[in-house]
Amino acid sequence: MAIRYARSLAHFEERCAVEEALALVEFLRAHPKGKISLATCTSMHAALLQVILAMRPPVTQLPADPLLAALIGAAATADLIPA
Amino acid sequence: MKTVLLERFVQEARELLQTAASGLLTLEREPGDATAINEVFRAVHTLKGSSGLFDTPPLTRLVHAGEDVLQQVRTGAMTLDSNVVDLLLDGLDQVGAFIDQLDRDGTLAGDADRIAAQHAGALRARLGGAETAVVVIADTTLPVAPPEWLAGFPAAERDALLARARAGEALLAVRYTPDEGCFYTGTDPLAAIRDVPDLLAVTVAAREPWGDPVADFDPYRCNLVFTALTAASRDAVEQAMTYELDAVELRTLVAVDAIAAPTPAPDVAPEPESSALLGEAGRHIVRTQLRVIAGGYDAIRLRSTGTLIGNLLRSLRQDALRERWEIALAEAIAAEDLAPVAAFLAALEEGPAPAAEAPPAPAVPLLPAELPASATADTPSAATLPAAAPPGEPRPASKTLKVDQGKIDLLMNLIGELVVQKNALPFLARRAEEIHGSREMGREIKEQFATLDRLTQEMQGAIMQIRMLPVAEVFDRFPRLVRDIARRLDKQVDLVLKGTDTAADKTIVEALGDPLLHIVRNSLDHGIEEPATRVAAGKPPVATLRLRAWQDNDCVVIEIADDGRGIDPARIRGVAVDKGMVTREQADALSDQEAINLIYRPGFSTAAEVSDLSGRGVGMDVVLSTVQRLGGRVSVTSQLGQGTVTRLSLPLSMAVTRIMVVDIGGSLYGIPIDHVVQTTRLDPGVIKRIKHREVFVLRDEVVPLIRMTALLGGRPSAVDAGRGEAVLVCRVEGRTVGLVIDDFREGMDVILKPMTGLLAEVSGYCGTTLLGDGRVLLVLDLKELF
Repeated sequence: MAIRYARSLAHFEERCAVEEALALVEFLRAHPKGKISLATCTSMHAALLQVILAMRPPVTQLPADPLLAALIGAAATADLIPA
Repeated sequence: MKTVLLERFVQEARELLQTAASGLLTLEREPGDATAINEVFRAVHTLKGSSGLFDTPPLTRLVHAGEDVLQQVRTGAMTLDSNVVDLLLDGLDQVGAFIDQLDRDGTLAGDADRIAAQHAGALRARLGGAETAVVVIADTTLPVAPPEWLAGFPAAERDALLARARAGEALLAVRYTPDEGCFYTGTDPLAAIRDVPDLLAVTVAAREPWGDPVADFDPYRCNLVFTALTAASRDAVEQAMTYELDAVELRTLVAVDAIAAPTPAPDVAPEPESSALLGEAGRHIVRTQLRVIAGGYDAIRLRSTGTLIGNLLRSLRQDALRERWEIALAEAIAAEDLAPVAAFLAALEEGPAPAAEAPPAPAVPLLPAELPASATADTPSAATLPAAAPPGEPRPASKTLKVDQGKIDLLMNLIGELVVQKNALPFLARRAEEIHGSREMGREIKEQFATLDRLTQEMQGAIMQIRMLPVAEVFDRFPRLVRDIARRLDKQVDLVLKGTDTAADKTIVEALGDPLLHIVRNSLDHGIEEPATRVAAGKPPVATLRLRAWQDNDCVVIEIADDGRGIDPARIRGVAVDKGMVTREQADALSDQEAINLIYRPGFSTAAEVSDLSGRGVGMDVVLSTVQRLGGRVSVTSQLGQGTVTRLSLPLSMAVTRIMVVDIGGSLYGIPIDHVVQTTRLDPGVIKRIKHREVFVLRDEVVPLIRMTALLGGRPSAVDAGRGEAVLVCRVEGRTVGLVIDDFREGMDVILKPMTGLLAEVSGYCGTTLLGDGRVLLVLDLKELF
């Protein structure tokens, strides 16, 4: 499966592979307020994780996978803390 | 600037690396070979010593790491398995690359430090691993993870894990810094870190600040650093990350002595103290700032963090700590690197010992990683030094002389001239007899000539011997190569080298390297099957690849034989037709052997998929052209299912060419003797005509006749009716032709001078040589003529 883009929300569905990284970057550049939902994401390639860490889009739902949730959760909360 | 000393070092280093590499391969086969381990150790040790003379710390560091591993092996504290050999060989390769850089630029490349550290780290990691398995040696334990490694973990989780570690549980911190280009090589670092067994916690951070995500963020340049905590053993972690080991650093969570000793290290001070120091509010501030800086380096944010923490420490009246904070902050700003700040904050949150207890020495307790690292670096060297040869002991003088190749070539040219000059003496003797009528004088000159002839021949032989190299020079690199390729392809191959002391001219031996490489790669990639396939075909799982060299008259023959699946002529035909190299009819008309020979056509490849080893369609035609350029031949025989034998036959020496002198239209010409099949005299009656071509039948083969006078000019001499036409039967590029000439003369060895200057453009001649009476002899290039 892949990333499904719905207006300003990117749904990660099941396994998301390395090829999606560029499209995700384009999406986030085109939609500065774009959000991502990981509710049904089972795993993603590190390149996608890197995009999320670098561009820090708001994550509406964390994935079920504990490792992914921990990695992305940590990044997302850090973003909410004012400098 | 390159100095004489550096040049000598480069040369010596290459030799030492070669010694070390071949020794390692011996060791891999026979781990108990004491001579081999000592040899390898000595080579690496010498290299380390010499490298210290130059400003090349990365090189020295890397060699040092290798030396330490070898020392462990030598003392028996560690056994050498394939993985360690791999690491050591990789390390040696890297040293080789450094040496090349030194040779080229006189200095190491900018990233040398990082690369050396990676290799050295991987080597040292093995050192520690062996230590836990065999015997406890203090200097080989893993260093403690620096606090910044742990900074990214949620405090509660980290504290819980640290507590477990302090309670004696062996917890490891794994820092994994994937290569920048790893996304292109199919690596998924996330999956790799997930593979680490018994994962307790993982964090991820940016290696370099992210920069502006809109403008210059490249999603395919990996900029991640993973830090994982695991309860697995070191071996298990390394096993799981085996393909990424060079990007992985391992640390223990808590120093061994910290577990044993009741007094905890300053950075692992118990909780209440830190609370007492910072208070809950202070800890919150520190934690928040830690998260802020985890986002990457940002000068403005860092400044605000600096003021905030500075104020916090001032309010707590921790002036000593505040000074250290200022130092860390200045370091971070200078290096644009958050590590010192992160380390300080992590230690602060952890609860550093109160200032009263902390020694006034700066930063040291906060950066515990520094100490163990330098300790491991120094201690083994102290231990190994006495083992080396005492410096005062005189080295046996080397029996080898290093001479520039140009000097030998000059000598070779001079002896060539001498041979030609010597050949003038018989003419002089004849003149003495015929013109001056002095038989006595003529005989004396001939006697002198005989002695001179013998001496020059011996001298020529001796000089050729200097240029002779054993084929071992090229064979030596194959054990390593075959091993590496076989491991990569998951095939099992036993390489057998035979006749390595067979010698041939340096030019030939050196030019052999590439063709051999192609053939061996082809064998490994296409010829030899996977172990399972082999077993199914009733063969032993381990394939045998034989490289054999022997001397055959004035040729050196090199044979590469594998017992793989062989070449399927039917498949070759099919591919050749598909690629449009031959038509189906042509292909069907070919014999099996001729079909196999198609693999030498440019662009031919049967491999369904292009691998990085072979199958790009270059290769076999390169082999053929290289060998032909050297004046050699290639033949392939193959039995389907039984294996393939490729045989290269090359002249022993390129310096001297044997030619046959012939008389054509009143002039003398030379023809390289390797073309000549036979000399014959034809009765004009047996010459038949097919259309306008003259032909004759030789051993049931129709051979076209070419009248050389028509080709080269000159008036043909009258045919002696009783003896018939003089015909030289030659083989040119697989075709047989008969050359009609006026007369045969003698065969002779000549030094061929290529055509130069204006004459270089003239085709049909491969060069000139001088005859004994001073006349110039043109040597024909039959390939260009027909």
